[in-house]
Amino acid sequence: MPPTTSSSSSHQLPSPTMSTAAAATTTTEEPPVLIPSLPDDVALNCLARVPRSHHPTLSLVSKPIRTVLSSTLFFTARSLLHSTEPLLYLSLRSPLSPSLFFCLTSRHENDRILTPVPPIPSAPIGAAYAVVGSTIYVIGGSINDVPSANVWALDCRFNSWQPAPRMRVGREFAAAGAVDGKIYVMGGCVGDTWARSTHWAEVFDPGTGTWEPVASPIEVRDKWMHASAVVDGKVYAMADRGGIVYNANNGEWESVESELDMGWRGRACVVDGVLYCYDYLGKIRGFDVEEKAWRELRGVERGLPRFLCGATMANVGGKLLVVWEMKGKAVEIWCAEIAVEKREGGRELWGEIGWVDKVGFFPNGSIIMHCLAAAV
Amino acid sequence: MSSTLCCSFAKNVTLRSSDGQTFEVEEAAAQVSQTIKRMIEDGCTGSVIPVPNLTGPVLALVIEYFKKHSPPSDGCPTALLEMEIKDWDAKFVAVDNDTLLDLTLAAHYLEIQGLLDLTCHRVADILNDNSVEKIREIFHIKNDFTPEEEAEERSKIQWAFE
Repeated sequence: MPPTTSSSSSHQLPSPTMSTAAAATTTTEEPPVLIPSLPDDVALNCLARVPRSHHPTLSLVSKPIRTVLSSTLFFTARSLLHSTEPLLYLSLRSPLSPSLFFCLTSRHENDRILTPVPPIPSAPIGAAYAVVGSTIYVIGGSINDVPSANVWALDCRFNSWQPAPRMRVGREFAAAGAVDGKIYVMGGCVGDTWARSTHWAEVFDPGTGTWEPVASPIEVRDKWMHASAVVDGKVYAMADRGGIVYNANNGEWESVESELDMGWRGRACVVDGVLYCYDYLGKIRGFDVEEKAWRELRGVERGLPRFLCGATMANVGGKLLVVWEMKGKAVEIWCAEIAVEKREGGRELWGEIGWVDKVGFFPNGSIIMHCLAAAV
Repeated sequence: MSSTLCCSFAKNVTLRSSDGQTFEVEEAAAQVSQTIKRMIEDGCTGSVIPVPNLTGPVLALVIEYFKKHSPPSDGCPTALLEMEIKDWDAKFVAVDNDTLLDLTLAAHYLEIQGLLDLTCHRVADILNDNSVEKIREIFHIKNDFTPEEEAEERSKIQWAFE
């Protein structure tokens, strides 16, 4: 971010904003600088490029650096420099707490651990999740058996929770997905009143902070959702019998093709137009929406256990991150990163395992609730 | 070089460093710097252009960068050329830390976006590859934590160092 220089006829170049010589002669307290000899905006340009795994080290260098690392300015610089990194966030339920949040952090090249994120201020059951940029939204869910309209936003830059504007109706087990920076939520409520049927589907614009109703035909309503995903601007919401698709680009509703419906198990994620899920028989399978067929992800059998308990997955920076539980004296959480690609013109899906790692352990009875990726 | 060639290809400008050294460089190459480009457009090319923020040795390095990054006279750069420039860039910033900081400042003052990206990236790599103590030493950063404060900060992020 260079200084703007006026195009005067003078031959002089702009003077440095601060010279080290001048600073050294000052007897009063020097203003805090990030890196002496560099103007702060240039130092910020350097600091913002450092990978997140090294931020704890940076924060110990000096107070001004520690302060800037947790500033909005710093994250804006990272975003402008395309230095943001995708991070995996995991929510767990343990016997001690209904809702724990963790972030997968890499300490070194081959050393990753789950680091705790402050707990959500009120822990709903059956909330829906969606991510826009560096914010994870936890939408609705029931509190004391009452479906709630509350929305909580986890700002992953500072790992802090804020209440977001409430929906028009309370929901539990709704479907949610983000398209073009807006969050679409549907279901999780019965359209038994005018208000609930009008707002059976809603859209939230984080830019304006407003919820708007999304018109829906009566035949798609009245459904509890158990999974959702977004492919090519379409929000897929899976109900117990049959699913529905909302096309956010043209506002049209469709039913989910039966082929997809039959094979979709549990939570899913989308990488490169392919919807992946774990079939609970030991296979990761992908549904290519263009090919309209399920394919087994090949090339990963040898690197993974035969059966992944409680497996769930997320698209983290274009790679498939699979998370599962391993039960013993405690519940171990394991994670694998898989680079996936289509081969044979899309007729085959192949994966190459980058790493497999135990990332944490928790008391017996702990289970993975959800995982998603946010860019920070 | 004949006078016609000189006029059509290699119009030169003279740059003068803070310590009075002068360097002649092709006008097209010097315009890699947005600051110098604006001055040339304002009609300052007839005289010497002072560059008061840069010492002779740093200006000499910057001029090397200008020459490598001046737009090719015969159209688009090839992929091969781009790779060669990338290699050259990497070597160019593999310098001692103080020279790296000087080059970073020069890129900032002269508004050379490519060089600023290159040097900031290199500084970031150094920040990423070193310990707290080493970072302070390399970049002359004063530790303003008291030992107690530092111990407390360290305990907060203990997980990162286990």
